[in-house]
Amino acid sequence: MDYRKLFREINQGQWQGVYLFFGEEQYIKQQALDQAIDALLDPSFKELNYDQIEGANVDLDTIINACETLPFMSERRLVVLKDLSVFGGKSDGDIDEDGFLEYIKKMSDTTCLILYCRDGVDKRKKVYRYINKTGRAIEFKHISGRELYKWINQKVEEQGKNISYEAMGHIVDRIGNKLEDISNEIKKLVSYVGKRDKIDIQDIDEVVVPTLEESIFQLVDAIGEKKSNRALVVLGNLIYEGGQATPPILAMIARQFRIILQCKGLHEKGYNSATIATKLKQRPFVVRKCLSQGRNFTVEQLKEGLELCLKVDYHIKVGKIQDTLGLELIIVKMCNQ
Amino acid sequence: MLKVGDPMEYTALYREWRPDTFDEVVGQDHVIRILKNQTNSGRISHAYLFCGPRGTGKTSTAKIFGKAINCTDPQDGNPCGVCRVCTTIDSENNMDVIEIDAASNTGVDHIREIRDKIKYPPSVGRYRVYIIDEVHMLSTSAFNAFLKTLEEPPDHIVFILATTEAHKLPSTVLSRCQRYDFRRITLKVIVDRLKSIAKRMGIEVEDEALDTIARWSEGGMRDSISLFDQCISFCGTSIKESDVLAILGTAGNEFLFDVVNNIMKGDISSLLIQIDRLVEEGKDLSVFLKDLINHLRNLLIVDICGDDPSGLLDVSQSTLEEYRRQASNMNQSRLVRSIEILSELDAEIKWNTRPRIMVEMAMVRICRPQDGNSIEDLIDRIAILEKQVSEGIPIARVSDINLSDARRTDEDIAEIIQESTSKKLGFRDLDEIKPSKDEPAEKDKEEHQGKAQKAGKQEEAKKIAKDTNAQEATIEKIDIEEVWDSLLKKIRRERMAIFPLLRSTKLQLDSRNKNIVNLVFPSQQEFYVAAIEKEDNSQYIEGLLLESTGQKFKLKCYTEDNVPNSISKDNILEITDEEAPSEEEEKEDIVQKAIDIFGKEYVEVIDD
Repeated sequence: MDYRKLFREINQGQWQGVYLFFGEEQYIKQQALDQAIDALLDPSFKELNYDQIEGANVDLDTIINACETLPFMSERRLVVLKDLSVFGGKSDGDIDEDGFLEYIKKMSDTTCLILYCRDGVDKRKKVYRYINKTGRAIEFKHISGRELYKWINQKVEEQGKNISYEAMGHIVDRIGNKLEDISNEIKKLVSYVGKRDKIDIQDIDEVVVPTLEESIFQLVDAIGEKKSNRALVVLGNLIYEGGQATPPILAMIARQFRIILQCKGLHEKGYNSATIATKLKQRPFVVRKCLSQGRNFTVEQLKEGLELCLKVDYHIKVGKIQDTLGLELIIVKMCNQ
Repeated sequence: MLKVGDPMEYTALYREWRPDTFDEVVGQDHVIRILKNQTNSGRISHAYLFCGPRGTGKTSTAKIFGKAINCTDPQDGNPCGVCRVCTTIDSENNMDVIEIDAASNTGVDHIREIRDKIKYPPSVGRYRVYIIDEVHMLSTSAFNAFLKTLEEPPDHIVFILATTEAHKLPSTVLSRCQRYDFRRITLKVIVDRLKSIAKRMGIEVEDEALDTIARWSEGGMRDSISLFDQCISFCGTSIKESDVLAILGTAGNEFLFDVVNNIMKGDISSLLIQIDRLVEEGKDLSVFLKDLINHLRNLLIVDICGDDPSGLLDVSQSTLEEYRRQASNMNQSRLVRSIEILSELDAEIKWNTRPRIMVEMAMVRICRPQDGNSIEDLIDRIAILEKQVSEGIPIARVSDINLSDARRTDEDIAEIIQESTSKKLGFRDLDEIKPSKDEPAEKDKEEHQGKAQKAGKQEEAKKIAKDTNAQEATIEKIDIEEVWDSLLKKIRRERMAIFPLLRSTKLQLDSRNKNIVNLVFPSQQEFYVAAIEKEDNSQYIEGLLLESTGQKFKLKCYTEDNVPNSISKDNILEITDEEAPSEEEEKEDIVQKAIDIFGKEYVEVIDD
């Protein structure tokens, strides 16, 4: 089921049986849970009609007890079960899966049970298939594109500020599309601009620290354009300001070279970017970016780059060169090719 | 105010000068601005993450923030320091701002303890603030337990996590905090702060001394104040740069500039004297090496970034100018090479019992590409060094050999080295190996002669090769259509994208020009023609043809409607093959021999 339909159902009060919330987008998932609590429970009796159970190390009796309790001064009771082991990939759960399935099939209809998973679920599990058939398994995926921009804009406006389309794009470029992260950054931005109404790109540059992946993109971009000074600045920001350790940076640079090489190779064989994305199991925009970066490198240069990374990695590990210096030398050499 | 030398009550300087208000926190304006605005507007989040290098103000800011959000009478976001809440928090028995050192409370039990306590409301203020320092040290299970707390904290709780290594935190925790990145404090800000401390303590300090202190603390305020503290105990009320250098056991900047100047000039003798001076003064050579590497790195950065190296290079304006002047005389590849040699040495020097010799050798290696006249000269020079090192003769004598007059480019030296080696190999006449540095004219002559000889020889060799080939050459006939069929199969495998375009084409030879092949498309496929004629596609096909026939062709594309009449009727390609058959024969020969020796059943021919 789509989560938008779920929000509609919540607001209309059509709310019963067993629900399963899962997926990577934590923010909307948490919001859905909060709304469900608000819609189902009268605040004055919330403590009596609401149970939250951590799924790890819980036994079936505890669950049944919680669910079979009758609601007090209310039509319904809400039980939230977090991270139940029957959905995990590893089957180290203490709960008998079949027993649990049998129980939820005939569960008391005065109780609403929400199975809340922080991560994904194993879709082969019987419990999942049963709930999915009833249409109450809701996956929360990351939103993107126009929907994402609309969401950001709304968030900013809620706090009495406004933001341009480019600035929104700038935020997403820097930290990705996890709403939790974006929401945190918006709070910071709103406080940063203070009495001003508009959030500008400069504010974002000052406040929002880009992710490692984004910085590596910029770094390799700069190397590709042979702009060693820009590349060195990006690297300096990562290490000195971002407190990033050097091994991941080196690994990410090598990874970027490798992906570009792969994209380039497949492209020369005539595949389009969408096919390359599925073949390499990369996100399409990553492939598009890599293809455009690839134009600045020859295959030979990329191979040399990879070998250089290997060599410097070795030299750092045997102590022949200091780590930051090693990374800087990679940049200088790649740009001097 | 505490006076210097007061024995009664000593607090480390960095604790004494810890900032009490946001305005006193230096170098973190972007963070402070947000926190002040949040205090003013009351938009307090329930979890903060402060990360950044050591000594940049994370814990201090956390403490101020804890006080500010509880203060009853905040002054423009700053805690007032006088109200009941502020004084209570400052006192020993405060219950509201709690500092936990995660480095020594790593276990899950410690976190559970916090979880049990957070339900109690604050005793005096609005919030209870937990400052968890070095939070990256928590164990995995402790993080998981903490995550549950972070998910649903009571309204009166604020967590402030501080760490130097944010990347060690699980992403689930990261995404629940507002993250603030503290930056390294710039040299200028540190110097200003130290100056103001010195002034208020009545201590006289040279500007260069402060510069050195700030440079050594690498953007950490605490480090710089500690070092300043050390200097005060060492020198009392007047601090000079030389004192600071003595405490640090390092050579001054000026010395490094001199060393690098000498490296650039290739003046080994002066370099050795400088190393001698270092050792005499009892400085640590490995510290010197690190300084030197850092200096060369800075030169490299200045050379690359030119106008704006700020952010990568934190030095005062005057030092930057000096770097610029020096960098303008060096090329990047030499800098890179020097850095590599010295870095390698830096790793080895720890295990070596005679670091001085190692450093000296490295200097020689670095200077070699500029001063080498010939291999013989270098060998001589190293011999002199060895003698000096073993006998301890004053090094000044080396300057008798004038090294700097013969600066050459790397290519020159490569040529010279090559020349001298070939001389050695060619004519074993001792007279010829005479050092040639004093007779450049003669040397040039020799060079020309050598070249001419070489060229002559090569031509001769070519001639002979041609003759033999002509005798062995056979004429092979290949049906070009068959070749094309097999190539199409290959294209289908390698470049599916262009295969459909080529499917119904014919490849035909040209009767006029042997080096042209014509690719004929069915009529009305002009569009396909255009696609294949694109450079990389036609090059690719030409490459394939070269591979399978051994002959270089130029590809021309036509549709059936406008074929030129030069197309050859019989599609037999005659190839004058020069090597393949003889190689084949040779191989057969070897196989036959092998069969003769081992017997047929033990011989298998594997082509690779």
